[in-house]
Amino acid sequence: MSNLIEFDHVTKEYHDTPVVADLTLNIEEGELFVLVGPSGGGKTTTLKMINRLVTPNAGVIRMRGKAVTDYSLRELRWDIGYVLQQIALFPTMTVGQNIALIPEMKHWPKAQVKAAVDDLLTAVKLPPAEYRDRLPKQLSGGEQQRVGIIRALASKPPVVLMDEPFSALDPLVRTQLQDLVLELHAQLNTTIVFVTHDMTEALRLGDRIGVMHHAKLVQIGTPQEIAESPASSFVDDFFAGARRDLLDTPVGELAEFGEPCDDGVSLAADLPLSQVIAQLTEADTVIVRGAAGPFTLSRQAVMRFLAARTSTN
Amino acid sequence: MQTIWQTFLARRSDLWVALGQHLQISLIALIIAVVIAVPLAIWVQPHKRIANVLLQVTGVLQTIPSLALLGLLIPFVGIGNVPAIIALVVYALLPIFQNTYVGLADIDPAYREAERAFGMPRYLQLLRVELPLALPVIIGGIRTATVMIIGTATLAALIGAGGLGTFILLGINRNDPALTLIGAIASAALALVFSAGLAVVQRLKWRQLGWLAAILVVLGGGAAGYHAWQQPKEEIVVAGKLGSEPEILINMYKQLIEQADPNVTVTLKPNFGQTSFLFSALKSGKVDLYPEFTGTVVTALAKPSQAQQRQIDAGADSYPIAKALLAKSGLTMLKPMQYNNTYALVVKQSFAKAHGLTTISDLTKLGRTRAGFDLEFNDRADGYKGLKQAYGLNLAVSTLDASLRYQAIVKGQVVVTDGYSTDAQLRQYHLVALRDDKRVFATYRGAPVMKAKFAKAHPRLVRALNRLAGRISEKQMQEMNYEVGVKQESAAKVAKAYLQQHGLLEARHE
Repeated sequence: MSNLIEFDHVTKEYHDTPVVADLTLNIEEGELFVLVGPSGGGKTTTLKMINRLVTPNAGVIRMRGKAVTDYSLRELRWDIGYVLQQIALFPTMTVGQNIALIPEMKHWPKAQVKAAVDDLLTAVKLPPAEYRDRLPKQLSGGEQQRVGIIRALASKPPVVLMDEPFSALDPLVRTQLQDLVLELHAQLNTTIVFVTHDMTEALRLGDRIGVMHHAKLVQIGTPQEIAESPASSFVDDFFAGARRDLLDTPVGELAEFGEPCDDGVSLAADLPLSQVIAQLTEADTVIVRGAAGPFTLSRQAVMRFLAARTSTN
Repeated sequence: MQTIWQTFLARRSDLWVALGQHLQISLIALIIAVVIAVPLAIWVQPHKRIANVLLQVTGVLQTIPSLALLGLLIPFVGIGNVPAIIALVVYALLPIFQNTYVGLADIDPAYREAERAFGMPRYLQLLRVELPLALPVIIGGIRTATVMIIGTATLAALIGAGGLGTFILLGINRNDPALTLIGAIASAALALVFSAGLAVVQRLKWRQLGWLAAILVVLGGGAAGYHAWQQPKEEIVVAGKLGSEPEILINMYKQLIEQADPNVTVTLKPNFGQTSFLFSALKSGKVDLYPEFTGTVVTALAKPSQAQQRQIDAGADSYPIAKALLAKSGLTMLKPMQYNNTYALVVKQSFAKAHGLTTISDLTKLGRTRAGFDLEFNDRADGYKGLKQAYGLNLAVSTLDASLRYQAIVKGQVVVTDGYSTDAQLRQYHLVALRDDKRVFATYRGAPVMKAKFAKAHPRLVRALNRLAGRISEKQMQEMNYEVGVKQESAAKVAKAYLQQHGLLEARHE
């Protein structure tokens, strides 16, 4: 695989304090690269330097071997999709108009724009006839971010940047959207650079993960490499945190590991897994009110879930 | 209520004209203010420091009292619509600028980041995101400005720009609350309608806004074009001071001039304002002619020499002196009419008859008589002071407010009062002015004033206006003032009736 984006000794300082210090990093064509780390570590700054929302103090960033500063700013940004944590669908435009924004600026033919909008809406399970002409405020948070993602994908850019896109959403919706990103990435083969402070999310999504801490890239590797040999005690602790997070998983998400059943005494789907485990020390199985109907969960089922999530995908 | 309704019916057509003028001035001022303030507020978005300076400046501008601002503008731009509009624009800038700036600055920075990240050009950022988001706040500012403009525009009448202020000023001038009230209510109603209209505009989409703007431009352009096309004739502007008498006179002028020269259109600007405004309008060429009084020329507009002053004091005719004085500033005064609109001592007709009174001297034959004088008259050398000296009058004087004099004499509280010789009230309450046989009161004879050059260039007009020379007695003027000021007849109709009756206007010239 060839390098799509290269950071070459890049430094960014605010008031003489480095936020990103001497960063050298290659992101390969077609990969889903996750930058992870605690807030203030420099991940978002790194991301925003790619589409020149932030200008580095030193070093060069290249896309396809050419410095980003050598591209015309508008074309560079039209070729780099962008998903914000605040979602920021323009409230003055309908869902359809938001998605069509960049294709229209690129002067695509009207029919092609309309077809792209409808295809993308269908792909994220928002029926176009129902959603196209709605205003963003009429959508739930999760639906809005689905639109935010396809807005970034609309003109089929080679790269999409995602800046903590799911951190404001509730856990259940977050998992659904993570699945959506994985699905779209597999389908479109777009290079995605994804920033998060959530190690669980990073482990779920990343082809490769870069861990950033105090303005430095402290480790880079596949999820497995990072899980097996953390480069420092910091990475180890951060990773341990992720394992703890796993026990906070809403039990509703374990539906695929359980067996559908008839109604009975049941637990709420948003109950954290840790509490269910406590109950399973007493009973062999519990019944959960899942989104798609009640299901039973056995001790084995929970173990299977933990095994699946702690081994790398 | 009844009187207001009657006044409204009688003045309907004037009200429409005033409303039109008011609307025009306000709308033009508003559009100019928006065109200046909104782009300015957009431009200063990234420059916080300049924005603060501009906010200060527009804030300071707004604290200038409106009358002072109008006064300051006159030396530079003269009088009429231009200074009125400039003043209104100055006041409208702050609310529009402030709201546009704040409305844009308060937009969630996430939208700004998204706009940048999507490579949206600035015009798209503004049109598709930022202006629509800030629109409610911007419209709020425009509404504030509108209400302020429409209210302040009533002052435009002071400097000859017309509008609803004319009704208010006229009402104050004539002590006619109905007129003032109509002007005030109309102005308030206009503000409400505008404000409500803007609330509707706020809900329109960009495309609809575009159509609205296009329609306004087409209508405005069409009206202007029609106006231009309509005026191949020479236009002469004749103005008059506040009040019914000047309005009647200028209507006579218009009818006489247009009869004499069919290629001339006379535009009337009645109730144009006070003497000094009119005089500067004449000198600056905004107005071609207006009726003025000889007495006013020698006391207020020009300074007579000592020799001339002695002549005036001795009771000489002030017309030749006034004419000579005006000539020094390149102006001239045509031949004056008969009546002398000066101070008068007034008694009831019945009282005059019973005691055989015709002159002021006759008053001395009576014993000590009750008189009610206006404060100013009581104290003037050419008022009661002069009368005491010249006639040896001995009256029991109580001073009254000018507006109460006629009421006092009608109710019999006083027997003699002061007034002006052509006041409509003389006719209304059956009063009579005693002849000033010892010539204490200065003479105030009316005649058209214009630039000497203008007079020379328009000999037909001069001839036409001179046909009024020596015409119109005090009684006739009282009668006409009564028709217009009290009975609310139109000045044009009253003027025409007089001219036809005296053979000055051919009846076929309808």
